Formats: sequence, C-alpha cells, structure tokens
Amino acid sequence: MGQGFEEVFTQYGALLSRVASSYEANEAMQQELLQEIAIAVWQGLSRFKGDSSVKTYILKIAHNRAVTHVASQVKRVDTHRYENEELGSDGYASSQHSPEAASSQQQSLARLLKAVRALPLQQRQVLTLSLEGLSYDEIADVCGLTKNHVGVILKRAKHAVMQEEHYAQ
Amino acid sequence: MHSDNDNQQGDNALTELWQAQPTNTIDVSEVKKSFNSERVKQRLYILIDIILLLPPLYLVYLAWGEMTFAARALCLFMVVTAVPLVMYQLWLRRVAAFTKDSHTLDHLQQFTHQIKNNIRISFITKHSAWPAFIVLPLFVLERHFAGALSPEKWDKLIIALPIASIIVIVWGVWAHKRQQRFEAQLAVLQSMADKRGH
Repeated sequence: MGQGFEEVFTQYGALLSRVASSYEANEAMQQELLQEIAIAVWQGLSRFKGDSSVKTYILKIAHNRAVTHVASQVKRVDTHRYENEELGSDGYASSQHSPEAASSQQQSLARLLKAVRALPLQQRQVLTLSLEGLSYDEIADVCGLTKNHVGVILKRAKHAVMQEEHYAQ
Repeated sequence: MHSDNDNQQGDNALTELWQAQPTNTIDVSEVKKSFNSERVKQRLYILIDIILLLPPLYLVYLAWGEMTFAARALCLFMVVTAVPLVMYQLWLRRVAAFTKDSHTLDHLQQFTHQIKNNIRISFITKHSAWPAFIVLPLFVLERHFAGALSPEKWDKLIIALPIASIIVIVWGVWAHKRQQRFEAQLAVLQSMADKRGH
C-alpha cells in the first residue's frame, strides 16, 4: 500500500464527501455515509495491490458502500419523509441556506444535486465519476462497463441533468 | 463545430459546479473508533452464531444412544435444517464484514442477489416456526408412547411447552419482520437502479 489512510483521507476527503452527497440529500445522513465510506476505504486500502490508481480504487469502494447504505436505510422508516419535508430542495438544511440568501450558484448546485440524485444508479455513478475527472477507461474500470457503454450512459445522464436545469430556468 | 464547443463549455460548467459544492470533513478519530468496534462486533456475532448451534448438537450427541428411531429422525431433521442456515449466516457475516472493491455493477448484482437470498431465508425461517408447533407435541407424544415420561416430567413439560410455544411465536414474528425489511431493501435498490422522473 502506497499511502496511509490518513493521507488518503486528506487528499480525497472532499471527493468522498461528494460521493456521499450524490446518494444522500440530508446533511446528517451525508456525514454518516461519509464516515461509513471512510471505514470501508480504510478496510479496502489494506488490500490495495496497485492495479489501478488509488483514486479509482477508493471510488469503487465508496460507491459500493453508498449503495449498501441507501438500501439499509429502510430500517429508518422516516428517512425519506425527513429528507423531503424538512430540507430545502438543495438537500441542505433550510435554516442554513434560506432561499433568500442562496446565491445563483447555490441554486444551480441545488438543482444539479437534485437532478443527479434522481438519475438511475448507473447513470448517476458514471456522471459523477466523470465530474470527478475520471477518463472513460477509468469509469469503465470502476463500473465494470465497456468504454463505449460508458459513453452512451454518460451522454444520457448529461442530457437528463441538462434537461432538469433547462426546465428549472 | 459550434455545437461541440457549446457541449464542451456545458461540460466544463457542470464539472466546475459539481466541484464547487460544500463538502463534509471525515472525522478520523471517529473512523478509527468505529473501525475497531465494528471488527469486534462482527467477530462477536460470528462467535454467537457458532455458540448457539453447539449446545443443541452436543445434547443430541449425548442423548443419541437413548433415543428411539422417531426421536432420532426429528433431531436429524432439525440439525439438517439448522446447520446449513447457520453456515449461510456465517458466510453472510463474512461477506458483510469485508469491503467490496468489486465493480459497481457486480456489487449491485451481488447485493441484490444477497437480499433476495435473505428474503428466501427469512421466508423459510418464518415457515419453519409453525411446523415447530407440530414437532414439539409430536416429540412429547413420542416420548410418552416410548414410556419415557414420568408424572414429574409431565409437570415440567406443562410449564416448558407454553414457554417453547412463545419462543416459536416470537421466532416467527421476528422472521416475518426480517422478511419485510429485506423486501423493502430490495424495493429501494430496484427503485434506485431504475428511477427517473422524465
């Protein structure tokens, strides 16, 4: 293993946080998911053999952990109600980001996050990996898809997100 | 060409917006604490699974020589049902304890498959509760006709049977709730895989 987990968290903490935000709208749940992802990454790093970059390796782990996390949340019956009723459409607590105070960029970001979370899982993963700067080859490696398939899915995902943005304006 | 430029600009703007989102910080000390406690918890669960299976097996082993054919058949039936379930439970715990670094597509398929298996196991567990209602009295009857039940043993059985029945009911209800939970998990997974508003 080339990097220690603390170094990895320092370097990729924000990236892992963005993975969490693409699955959970509620800020508390995002933090909880981020911690779960961090534990999974720590576990996973001990088995990292250097076949790929650390970034793609931890992104695989992070997305897998997030999928498991979201499914396991059915134990908390009121999660989705809480998410929908008590938070603004941006997914952040309304008290922290009132509509009046939100800047144009924040509103765009809120729409983007909402649109990303509404995407089917594969499109969501491919799009967010692309937004993190991964190449088609790297996305194909993370998702277990062919490069061509990545291109098709990414195009669809972008179209869907842009359409959402277009409707909102 | 103009369209390509527009697309590129749109992609760049999207990436910039994505990267500009506020992020949370990983609490490293909390991660260390959770990592260690999770490891201990998983090992404890595995130990409990094994320990719970051993006493009944040992009792069957001790009493085997004194058992009639019918009693042996009933015990064998219970062992044959319980051992694979415990083995599967151990395998699931092992799978849950390790981090998945498989492709996301593989993970989704494996996870879905695992949840479907859990639904099946909960269903089997639930429906193994009501046969226990039949097996328990049958076992008592078999002992009675084998002449193994003295009046003192009957007195004990009158207390033991209702307790055993309550345990069986709780077991059935627990399995039913587990089945419902796994079905809900499967629904969430399928909805996550398919969802799209427009």
